[in-house]
Amino acid sequence: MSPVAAIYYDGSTARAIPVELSVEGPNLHVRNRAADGELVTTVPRTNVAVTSRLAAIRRILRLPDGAQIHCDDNDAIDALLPEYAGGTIVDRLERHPAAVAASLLVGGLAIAWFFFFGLPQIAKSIAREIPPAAETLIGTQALEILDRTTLQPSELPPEVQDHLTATLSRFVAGTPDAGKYTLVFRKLPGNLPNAFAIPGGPIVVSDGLIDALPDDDAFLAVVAHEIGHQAHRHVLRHVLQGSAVIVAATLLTGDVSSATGVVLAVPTFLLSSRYSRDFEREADAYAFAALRERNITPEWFANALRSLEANSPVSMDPGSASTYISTHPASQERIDAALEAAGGFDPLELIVAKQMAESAGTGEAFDAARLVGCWTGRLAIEENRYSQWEVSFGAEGNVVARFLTLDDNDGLLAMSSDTGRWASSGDILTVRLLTRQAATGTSAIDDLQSYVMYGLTDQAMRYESLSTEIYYESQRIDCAELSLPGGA
Amino acid sequence: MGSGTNDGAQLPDGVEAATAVGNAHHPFEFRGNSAEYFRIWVVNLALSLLTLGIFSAWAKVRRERYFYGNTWVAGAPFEYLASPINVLKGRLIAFALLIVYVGASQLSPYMQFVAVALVLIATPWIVVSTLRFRARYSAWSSVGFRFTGTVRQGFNYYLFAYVLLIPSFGLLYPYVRYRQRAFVLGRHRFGGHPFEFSGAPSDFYAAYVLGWCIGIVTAAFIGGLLVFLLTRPGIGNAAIIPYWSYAVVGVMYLAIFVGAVFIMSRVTNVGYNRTRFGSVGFHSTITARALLWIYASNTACILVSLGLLIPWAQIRLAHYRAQHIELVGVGDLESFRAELNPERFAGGAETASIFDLDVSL
Repeated sequence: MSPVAAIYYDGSTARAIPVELSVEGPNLHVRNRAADGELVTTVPRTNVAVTSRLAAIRRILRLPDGAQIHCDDNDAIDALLPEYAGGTIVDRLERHPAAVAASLLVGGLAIAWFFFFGLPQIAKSIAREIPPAAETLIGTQALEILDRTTLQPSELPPEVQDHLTATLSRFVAGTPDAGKYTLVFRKLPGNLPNAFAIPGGPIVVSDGLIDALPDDDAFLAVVAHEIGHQAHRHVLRHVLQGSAVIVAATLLTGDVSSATGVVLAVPTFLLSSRYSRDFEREADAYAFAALRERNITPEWFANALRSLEANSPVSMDPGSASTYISTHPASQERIDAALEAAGGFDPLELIVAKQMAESAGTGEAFDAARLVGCWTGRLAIEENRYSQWEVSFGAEGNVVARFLTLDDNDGLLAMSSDTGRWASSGDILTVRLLTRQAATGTSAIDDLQSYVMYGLTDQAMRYESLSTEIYYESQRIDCAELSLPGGA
Repeated sequence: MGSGTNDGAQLPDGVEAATAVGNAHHPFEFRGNSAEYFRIWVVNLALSLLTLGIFSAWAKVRRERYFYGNTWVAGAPFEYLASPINVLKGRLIAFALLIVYVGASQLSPYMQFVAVALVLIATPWIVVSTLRFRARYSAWSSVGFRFTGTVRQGFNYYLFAYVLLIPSFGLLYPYVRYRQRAFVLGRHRFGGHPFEFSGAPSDFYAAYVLGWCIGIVTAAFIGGLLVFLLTRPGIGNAAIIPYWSYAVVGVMYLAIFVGAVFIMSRVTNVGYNRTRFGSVGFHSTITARALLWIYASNTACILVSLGLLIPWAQIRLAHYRAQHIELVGVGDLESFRAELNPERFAGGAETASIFDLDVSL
C-alpha cells in the first residue's frame, strides 16, 4: 500500500510537519516527507485514537504522547487502518441514499404528526388555561372589530329578540355557565343566514338565520351547536392551532398570557368560521346531548340544517361573510348523526301531528291504515292552470309525491317529485317532504304541512291545509297506474 | 519546512497553503456544501426524532464538527472536539432548569418569581461555563482555545451590571454590552497568547444608537407606506380593517429585526477588528445590508421549501461570514505556528470540572 500523506503536530506547537503514514505489522510509521523520509515516530496501531468519519472533514489521529496526525484523505486512512474504518453507523447512514430518503420521510411524518395531533392537543390544554376574563376580553375586542367592519345592526323587532333571548335562557337554565351565553343580534351583508360563537359566551345570530329557521326548536338546535363550540373553546383552540409560533412560545415560557396574542386572528376567523370536522362533530355531539336533556328531539337539528340548506343563497360575496351552510356543511353524515341521536323520540312529523291535533283538531280520528296506498287529485290554481298530484303513502310512514302543473289542454308546464315522511294523530295528517327532484336537480327541503281530514273512504278523501286553508279532494287509484320515482 | 519538499506525493491542502509565506492577509474560507450538509442534517433530524431528542447531543457534535472542520484559515481548518456525552449532560441540565421554571410558574405566581430569580442567578454561571466549554473543545492545528473568565467575574458582568440599567433608565445598556464583550473576548486564550480587546464604549454606543434609529426610521417608513397605500381611495375597504392589527405588529417586528441585525453586524465587526492576540489581528467586513438580504431570502426559501432548504440556508450564511473575516498581521506563517503552544496545565491531564458544560438546548 502506498504511503498516506498527512500532517504531524508534535504536541508542543502548531508547527505542521508534512509526513507519510505507513503500516508495518502492528505499528504505524510516521515518516517526514521533507527530511528524506526520516522516521518521526512509530506507534502501535492499537494506541492510536482516530476521530470518526464525517463528510470530508479532516481526520485526527491522536498519539499517546500528545502528538497529532491530521489527514484529509478519509479513504486512505480507512484503508491504512481498517480497524478504525468502520466509522459510525451515523456516517454510513449519511452516505446511504436510501437512509437519507428514509430520514426525510421520518422528518416529514413527524412534522405531519405534530400538526395533526400534537398541535391540537397542545392548543387544547393552552385554551383550557386561558382565564375566562382573558377569553371574554378577546371576544369583546373581536366583536368590536366585526361591528366596525362587517356586522350591521339587527332589524328584528324587539319583541322577536326578547322572545328568542327568553327561549335561550330557558334552554340554558340550570347549566353551570348559564349566565355567560348571550344572544347578539346582528345583520350580515346580504342578509346572509349565519351564527357564530364569540369567545367568552356571546353567540351572534344573523337576521337571515332567524328568517330561515322554521321555529324555536330549530333555532335552539342551531344555538345548542354554537354553545358546543363555546363549551369546548373551539375558537381559541382553532386560532392557537394556526399559530404554531405562539404555541411554541407559550410552551417555552410557560406563560399562558402570551397565548392571548391569538386575539389578532380571532375576528378574521369568526367571519369565515371554518372549523375542522372534529370540532364540528364535537359541537354536534354537545348539541344532541343538550337537546335530548331538555326533551327536544335532535331531529330538529337535522331539520334546521335542511331548512338552512333550502334557504341558502347559492352565490355569495366572497371575503365579506359566509352563510351558515357554507361554514357548517349539512353533510348527510351530520344529518344521520342527528337522526341517530334522535332515537327514542317521536319523529318530527308525528310530534307536529300530535301538537296540531291538540290545538286545531276537531276530534274525529281517522284510521291511518286506510290511507296507505296511492291517491291522485287535481285543482285549478289559476285561469287555465291546474295542479295535479299523485301521492303514495307507505305503510312504514314514507311518502312519495309527484306534482304536475298543467294547462287546460293537459300540456305539461312543470313537474317535481318529492320524497318524505307522513304521520297522523286524531284527525290531523302531517306530511313532511325532505327532498325535491325538479328539472333543475335534487335539493334538500324541509316542508312540513298539516291537514285536517274531513272524510276518508276507500275511494276518496277530503281534507284542508292548516296553513293555506285550501280544501282538497283526492281519489284512490291503483298504484300500478303510477310510475312514481322510488314509488311505494 | 525546507525547500524541495515536493517529492511527488500529493500534499494535503493545509501543508501547501502553510508553505505560502509572507501573505499578511489570511482570509477565512468555508468549504462546506449544501448537498453534503443536507444529508447530515436530515439524518440528525430523523435520529433525534426517533430517539425522542436524546440523539440531539450527537447531532449537535456532528453539526459543529462539520462547520468547524470546513472553516479554514491560514491553511488549516478548525476542530470541534467535544464528546456527545458532555453535550448531553449540558442539555439535561438545561432541560431540568426549564422543567423547574415551567413547573414553578404553574404552581403559583410566587413560585414563578422564585424561579425567575433562580434563573437570573444561574445565568452568569451558565454563560461562563458555556464559554469555557466551547473554548476548551475548539482547536486549530492541534492547538486549543481556553476561556479563563471565572464565574465570579461572570456575576459582575451578567447580573450586577444590569443593576446599573435601572438608575440610568437603560442608557447604560450599550456600556454593559461593551463590558460583557470585553470580558468574553479578553478572557480567551489561544496557543498560549491572551486575546486583547481594545474596543471602546463609544463603538458600542455608535452601534446601538444608530441601530435604534434605524429601527425607528424603518417602522416610520414602512408604517407610513402601508398607511398611504391602504387608505388610498379604491383600495381602502372596511373589510381589510381586521388585518390592521396584524400590520402593526408585523411592522414592529420588522423594525426590531432590522435594527437588531444592524447592531449585531456592527458589534461583530468591532469585536473582530479590535481584538488581537500577540501581533495578530482580525479584519471583519460584515454588512447589515448583506445580512438582512441573506436572512430575508433564507427565511423565504425555508418557508417555500417547507424547511428542506434549512441546511442550504445555514451553509449560505457560513459562506458569507467566512468570506468577510480575515486574519491579519501574520508575518511568517511558519514562525506564527511555531509560537503557538497547546496550553497545558500542571499535571498534564486537565480535570474537566462539572462547571465545564455547554448549557444550551
